[in-house]
Amino acid sequence: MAFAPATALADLPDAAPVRVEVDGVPVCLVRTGDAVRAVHDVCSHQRWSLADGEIVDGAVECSLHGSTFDLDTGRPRTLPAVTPVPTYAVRVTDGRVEVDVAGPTNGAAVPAH
Amino acid sequence: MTTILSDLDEGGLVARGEAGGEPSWLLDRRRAAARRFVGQAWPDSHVDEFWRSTPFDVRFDVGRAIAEATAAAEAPASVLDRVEGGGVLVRVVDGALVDVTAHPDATAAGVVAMDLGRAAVEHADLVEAHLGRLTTSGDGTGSDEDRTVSLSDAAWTGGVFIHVPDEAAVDVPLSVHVHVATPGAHLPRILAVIGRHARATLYLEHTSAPGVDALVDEVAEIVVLDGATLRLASVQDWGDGVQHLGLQKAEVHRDATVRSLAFTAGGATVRLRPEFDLVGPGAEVRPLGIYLASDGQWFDLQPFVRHIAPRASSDVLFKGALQGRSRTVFRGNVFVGRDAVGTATDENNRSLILTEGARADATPFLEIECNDITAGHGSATGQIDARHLYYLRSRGIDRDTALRLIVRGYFTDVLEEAGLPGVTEHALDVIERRIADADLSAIQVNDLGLREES
Repeated sequence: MAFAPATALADLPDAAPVRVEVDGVPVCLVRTGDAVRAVHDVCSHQRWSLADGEIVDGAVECSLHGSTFDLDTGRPRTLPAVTPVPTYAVRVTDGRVEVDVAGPTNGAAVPAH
Repeated sequence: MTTILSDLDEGGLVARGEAGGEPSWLLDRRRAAARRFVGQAWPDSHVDEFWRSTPFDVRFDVGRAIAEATAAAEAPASVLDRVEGGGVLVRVVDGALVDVTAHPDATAAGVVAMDLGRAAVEHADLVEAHLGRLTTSGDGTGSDEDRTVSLSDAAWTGGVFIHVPDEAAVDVPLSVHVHVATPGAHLPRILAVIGRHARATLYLEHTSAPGVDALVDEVAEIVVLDGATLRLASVQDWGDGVQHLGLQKAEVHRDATVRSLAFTAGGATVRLRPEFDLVGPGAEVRPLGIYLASDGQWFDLQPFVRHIAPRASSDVLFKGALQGRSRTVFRGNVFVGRDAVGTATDENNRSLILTEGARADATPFLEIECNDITAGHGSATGQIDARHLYYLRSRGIDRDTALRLIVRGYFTDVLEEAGLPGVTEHALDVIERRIADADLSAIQVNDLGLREES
């Protein structure tokens, strides 16, 4: 239950996913204006980095098979993924982005591949 | 000497062969493979299409030392024990060939079954002509191999050489039984040459002692010359601690026929590649597969047929049943080259999901460079059909018995077609045992068909 430093806000491009590691957990960060959202970086369908994909309408699209995951709920909007990816709490303090990977805010399990 | 796989260098890879007094051509090949190994990285799901489904670093532990042969452990029974009259049995335990049981019929027909290192001297012409030929590229068949195969090319131990002479008709099965009793990495290697117009049955058996953690990196090269007929089986009966990388590659020449069965029931992770290069016109292969995956198991099955020559035919069929939190991957490939006119090929995969939590992935892939062919491919994954269950129960058969009958019946067509003495009986026993162990109350049926009819 702790926020850990992830990156600097200035290093995040707008509306493009970025992969970071927080306490050993791969996290996909997406900045929208001054807000940052975080989901687990591994697709729930197959082991692939979600940060390799694009942002489409508030969701990150996996570049391997095209499943899109809602950034607020972690739930997939399209097949082939059927289970949500964990979402994590993010806070921005003095331009520093911190993520709490201890407990996913949506209760989803970390994808096991 | 402890040699961790991931730390191996050129010297470490070939040291064993040098100590064994192998001929210079063989040492040269080991050195060349060692250089490939050093220059390669372990497979990566992000880079290698064929590794996309199975994360190598999670499912395979290369931080192991090559297992040293110890005093020969007792291997469990061979499927040949179930064959009336037996057959030729070659036992490889912990990286060393421990004994060969001959059979008078095979001996009379001139069959050779012996240690590969010895064969490199005594049958140098055949071994030099064929060993490693199917694992290195340069022939345009697409066999650019990854590091797991370079490792075998460089450092194999416990090699077996099988030769069936031209025109020999051998009806007794020949079996290579690889048994793992010591933890660590094992590198069994098999070279089989089936002569022109010969007939033979070859089994590859795989077992391990209870509780042993091991990585088995196995390569089998099987050359089936003009007009030969081969029945082939690979039986994976590993214990729960074994990770198996298996490349079993057959080169099928003019008018030769191969019917094969890959039976996979044991092992923590099994990545099996039954491959067939059809290099002669009129070659025919029927690759069959059966897999039974239970909780914690991960099977990645990748049959690959390459149509190089014209008018060859192939028909792939893999059927499996899954339960618990298991995962299977069927990554079938059929490649039809530009000269392979008149090819006839079909490729099918069926997976039966018995209980919730299991997952079966299927990719029945085709790659076609020639337009005068027929090709089909398909895949289906589903649950037991409630109509079948309803039918049996309406005949007074209780639910549990009916479920057993359905699962058994699902595999019967493949087993009957494979028709492999000893293997068929063994496979049926394993299937029965798996169903007996299963929680039949957890088996889910698909009642969509029933509802549609009402």
